[in-house]
Amino acid sequence: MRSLFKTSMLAATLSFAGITHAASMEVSFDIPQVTTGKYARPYVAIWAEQGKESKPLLVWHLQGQEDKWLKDLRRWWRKIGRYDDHVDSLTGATKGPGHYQETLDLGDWSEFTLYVEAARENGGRSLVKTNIDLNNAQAYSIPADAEIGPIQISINP
Amino acid sequence: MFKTSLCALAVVAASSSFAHDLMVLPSKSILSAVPANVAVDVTATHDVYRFDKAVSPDNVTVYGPDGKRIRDLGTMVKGATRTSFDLAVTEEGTYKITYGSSMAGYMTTYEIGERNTRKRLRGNQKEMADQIPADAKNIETTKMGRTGVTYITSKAPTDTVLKPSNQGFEMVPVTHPADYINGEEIEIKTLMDGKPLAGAKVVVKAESAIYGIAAEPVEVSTDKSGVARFTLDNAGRYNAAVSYSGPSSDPLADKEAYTVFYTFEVVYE
Repeated sequence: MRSLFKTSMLAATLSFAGITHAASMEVSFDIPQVTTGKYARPYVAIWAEQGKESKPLLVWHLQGQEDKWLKDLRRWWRKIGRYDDHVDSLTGATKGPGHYQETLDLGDWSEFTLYVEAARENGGRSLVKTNIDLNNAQAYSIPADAEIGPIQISINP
Repeated sequence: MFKTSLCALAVVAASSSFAHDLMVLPSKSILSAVPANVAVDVTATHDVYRFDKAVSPDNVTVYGPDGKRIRDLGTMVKGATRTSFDLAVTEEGTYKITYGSSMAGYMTTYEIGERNTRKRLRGNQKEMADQIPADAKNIETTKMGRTGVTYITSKAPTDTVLKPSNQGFEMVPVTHPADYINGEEIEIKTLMDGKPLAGAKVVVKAESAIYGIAAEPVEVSTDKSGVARFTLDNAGRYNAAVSYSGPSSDPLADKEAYTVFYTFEVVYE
């Protein structure tokens, strides 16, 4: 029994290693400079959807007691946030205007729709997406929207 | 004398709200976290999300995500145009807020005089026998129910409060109220004593109609499985009047007429 357990653990570790090697991606994007009287840094979420399944990848939100605005990432909230699944994703504090690059682990997902949503208090909200097929192309881009700059996606070899 | 005039007053008050839509209006219907407070107004009005007449605080009922009635709703204020309270949302899941009695009431109408003036009495023909003049014409009793309902969801949606009681006329959301998205089909169901009810009318009015935007209500009917489907192009706040009228199965009434006024929010994709 014990050896069986060990073997399966080993197998699991091996296959896990295989997957992580195969599927991660670099997502780079800008948070645009917005000139406004009352600027708040945007909430940003990145996730993947495959049919009815969602895979949380990243969420930047206000930390602590103050994050009652999570639902303003509306699609993300319906797919992930309200089920508390985002604890599995890369979470962080909100960030100001600038260029960002994140490495996101895709597990065994290879064909999916990547969503990026950004919402700013007293400001706008953007929801953009692109279809990704790892067997097809290794680089993708999404044009800029009001609350999120142009996005470049490259699949790690 | 006093009693009679009180009774008459009640009839007048009730009949004035017959002409109005009943609306349960929460300040928010989707919440990120608990505890939270949601301002709730209940009003009888012609416009969607506008106040006109206050209603009886005794008929406001809130069910928590566990399906149980919340006993203490705190301070409830009956103002001139609305009845208001702040609902303390302490549990995650979906709450149901209703206005109106679950028991249907009777209304008897008749016409009288040379001009066939229409009169209304609250009660069935039997109860009202001594108040109906001998020369009254076209006496008709309608068994009627008018309720207002809305749902609010904190974090993940739950289904307990969506379950029908299988008594009388009911409107049951099929698409969860926390999942109403512009451009996506919304499905609701009507039941009579737990059985699917065909031919109920659904008239959906948008709050934005008061600003002249898409002023035409969306109108659909329930099919033979009791289901009505509609798609709203714009996010915003809406009121669906879900109504049914038909011959009465109750010997004390000639007709039955029920309306559930269902207020809800549609969020942008």
